[in-house]
Amino acid sequence: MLILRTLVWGTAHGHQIGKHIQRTTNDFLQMQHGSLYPALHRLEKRGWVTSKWETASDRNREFKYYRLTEKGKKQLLVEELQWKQMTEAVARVMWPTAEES
Amino acid sequence: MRWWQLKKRDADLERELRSDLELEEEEQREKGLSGEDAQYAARRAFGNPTLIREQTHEAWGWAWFERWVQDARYALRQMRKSPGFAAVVVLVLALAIGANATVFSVLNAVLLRPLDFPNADRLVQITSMKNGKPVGVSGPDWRDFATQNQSLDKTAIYDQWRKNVSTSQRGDDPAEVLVGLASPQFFEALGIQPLLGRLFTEDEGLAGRNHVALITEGFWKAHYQRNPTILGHTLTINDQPYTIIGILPDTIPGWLHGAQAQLPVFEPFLPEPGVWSESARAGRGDGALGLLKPGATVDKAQADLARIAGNLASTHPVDRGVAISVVPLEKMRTGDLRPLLLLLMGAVALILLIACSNLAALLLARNTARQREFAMRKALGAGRAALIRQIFTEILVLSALGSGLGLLLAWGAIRAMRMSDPGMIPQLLALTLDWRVVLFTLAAGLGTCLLFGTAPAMLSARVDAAEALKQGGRTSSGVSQQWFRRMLVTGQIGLSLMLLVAAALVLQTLERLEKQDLGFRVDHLMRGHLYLPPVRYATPDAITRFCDELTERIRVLPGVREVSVTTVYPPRDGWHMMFSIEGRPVSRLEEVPSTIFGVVDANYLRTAGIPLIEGREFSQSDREGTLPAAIVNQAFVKQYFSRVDPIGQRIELGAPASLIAEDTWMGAQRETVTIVGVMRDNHNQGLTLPVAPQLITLFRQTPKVNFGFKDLLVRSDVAPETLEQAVAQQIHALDSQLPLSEVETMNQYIGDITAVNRFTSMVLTGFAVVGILLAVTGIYGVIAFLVAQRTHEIGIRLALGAPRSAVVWLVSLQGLWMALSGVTVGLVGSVVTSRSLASLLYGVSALDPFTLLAASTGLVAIALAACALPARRAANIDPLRALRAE
Repeated sequence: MLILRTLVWGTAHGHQIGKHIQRTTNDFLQMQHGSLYPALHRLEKRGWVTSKWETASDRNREFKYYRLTEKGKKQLLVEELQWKQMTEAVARVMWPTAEES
Repeated sequence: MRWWQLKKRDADLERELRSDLELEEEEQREKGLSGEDAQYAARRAFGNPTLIREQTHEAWGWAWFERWVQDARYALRQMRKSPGFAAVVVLVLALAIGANATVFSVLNAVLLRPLDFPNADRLVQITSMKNGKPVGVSGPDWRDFATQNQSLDKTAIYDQWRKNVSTSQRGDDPAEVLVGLASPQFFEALGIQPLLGRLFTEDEGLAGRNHVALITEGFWKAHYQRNPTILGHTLTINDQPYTIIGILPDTIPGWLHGAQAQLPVFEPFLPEPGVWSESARAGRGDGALGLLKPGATVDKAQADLARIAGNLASTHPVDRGVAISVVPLEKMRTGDLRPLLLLLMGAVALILLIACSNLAALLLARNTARQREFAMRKALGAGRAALIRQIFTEILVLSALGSGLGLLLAWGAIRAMRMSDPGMIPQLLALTLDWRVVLFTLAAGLGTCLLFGTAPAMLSARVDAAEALKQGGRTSSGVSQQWFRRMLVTGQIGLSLMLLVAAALVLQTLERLEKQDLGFRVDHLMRGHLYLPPVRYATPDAITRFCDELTERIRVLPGVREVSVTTVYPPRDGWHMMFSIEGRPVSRLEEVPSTIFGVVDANYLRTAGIPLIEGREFSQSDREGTLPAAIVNQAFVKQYFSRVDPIGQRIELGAPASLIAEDTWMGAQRETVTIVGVMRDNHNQGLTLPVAPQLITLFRQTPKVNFGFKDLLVRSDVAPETLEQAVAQQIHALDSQLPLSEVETMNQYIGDITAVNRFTSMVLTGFAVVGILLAVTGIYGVIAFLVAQRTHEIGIRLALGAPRSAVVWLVSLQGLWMALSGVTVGLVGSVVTSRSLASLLYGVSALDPFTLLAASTGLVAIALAACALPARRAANIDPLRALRAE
């Protein structure tokens, strides 16, 4: 889900996605960005992202850029909804409101 | 993404990972780390590339395939490392699977392939049964069945006669051909449509209208070169013109008519003018087919026809005691090949079992030697499942190679079988390697893979890593493994014994059949067949005159010792004739005795070499006008004249006139003959059935049974084949339109009869040899392995002073023990299967003790011989070397 979200803002290659997630979670999600690659390929297999080799804008080298597809956008919405539902459920258990206690 | 793009994908991934890793490295360097530190830091931040690649491959979904390919490559590498082992396994598999595929092909050609007719499953054969023996149906009987039955859609009557057929208008150069006589329903029931022209109509079955003929496509191609204007051509059959009205496809099999080859010509069913008259009711000899109504079963039809038969028996005395039998047509196809085929199936299954167990043992032994390798893989993290999968892949590769080679062998065997003349097994001519066999072979290959792979795989994977690595390679294979191997070898020996016993028994049968005293002299005897058509030989006198002239001419040919014109000769069944003995009247038709009958000339006994026991032979003075003479055989005397002198007794031929007005053979007038001599018994019901009572008369003295069908017997001083031309010339000189057919020597004729037995023994012997070879390799493998395992111990024994002979004895004892227990198992198996084997045997019991003993002893001796090499090797172990090599 996080990868899909990251790609909403445009195309990126694996390294960029990893760095971005790390940055935006304030280094909380400190994972080895190598572990992204299996996930990226899984997403590509499902048709939620597509990939292409392009030359980087700032360096004189080619990277594999990933882009969100229409299906991917829809999937992002689905997963967002599921996550929200899950957090709400957890919150209800953890911090019940007055009526339910 | 398809699996063949994996490599490209992998390279792409490699590139992707590398580019990102380099980028990370650059960033690290920008952060201020030195070259090498930057590299390490980048890698740490990135993660384990190998793991990443593995996980990505998993994500692609083809990981299982890649693992399998890896296993297969590993398997092939292993095979290259031990090519001997691989070669043995592949060869054994190829032999076993090839044998199975061949036998299955035979079964397919003979048994399993469905009949070539539409509605084949509804076709039945209808036969009358008298005294439990099948006889044909008669015309009037069939008509009643046809009109009164409720379970058959169509029913047809048919027959086949040898006739002289000529394709020329004038009837030149006729050949003797088996001509089918078929009612129109015959073709309707079989669902046969003519390729050209039309089929017979009902009224063409009447006398005077029946001179039309149908020919098959093969005959049309051979004699008319597929001339499209064939319809309307004249065919000359028995000197009478017949018009060809249609062409039949080549689908009517010969076995329907009891013949090897297809019948080339058909005419309407009218074997003789009186076939439908009441007097012909007892004249059984025609064949009958039926097409069941949809939904009717064979049992229902059987009951239905039995009911009609019962009605007939109460209204017609000749039908008393005559039962009816309805059998699916498919059963007719195999005939007496069925026990042979079942035997083949059993034998080849045994071979496959032996081969599989052999291979299982081999594999087990080999995997035991590889325990260090397995232990190491386990230590490195391979799960049990991975090990098992890898072993199975190895086995699969071997099976695939074995199946492939086996299929090739089967193809070769089938071609060889088709080209070698199998004699009386014409169905083998249709043998091909079709897709069903290929499928079966693949299934067999897979099955054997599972059969002989499971146990070794399971047992081998149960390796205790620490233990195995510790003992430095000299692991003791688990007790269970050794026990399993011994059980396998014991089983192999048992199965081999069963095959050996079966082969020995069948070989003895063949010998008995061929060497038995048939009661006449078989050597230097030629036989042939003639048919004197009634158009040119209208009276019995004319026939007799021709035969006299012919025998005179042939007798003076150089090399001819004796010649005779006859209608019987051993071991063939002649025709059956009812008779009554003067002074012993019979009151009921069912009790009228019947004998094997034949008419001959005065030279018969001399020519056939049948000795006379009592009385006198036929002589030239027995002519028309003198007392009609008859000669009987000893079985006849034993049955009817056991206490009286048979010479001088008078016999009336034919059913007694008081019980039935007209007899099939004798018509309205009976003939009486006087017994003048007794000949020695000779086989007259084939080679295996006991001698039946037989009576023969001179055809010149019994004109009522002097027909145009005659056989020619020529006894020569020289090789009989050389006389064929000369004899044919003499016949041609007397009558240029008379063909001589079915010419062969008596040895060839008897050889044809035993063809099936020869084939059986050949096959069984082959199987037994293969089985023994496999068992021997099995024993050798186990004992050799044993010696290798116990080298250490044997070295100690020798060092401590044991004589070398003791070591040999130690090793041989193991082998002896396995052999003895195996032989016991085999004997039990032979006893259990003896009943099914008995139907193939003649003159030797299925439990013949001498054979069983000889086979057992032989096998034990072979087993001991197989132990000899390893035993010798054991005895020659250098104790110093054995103790040192740790």
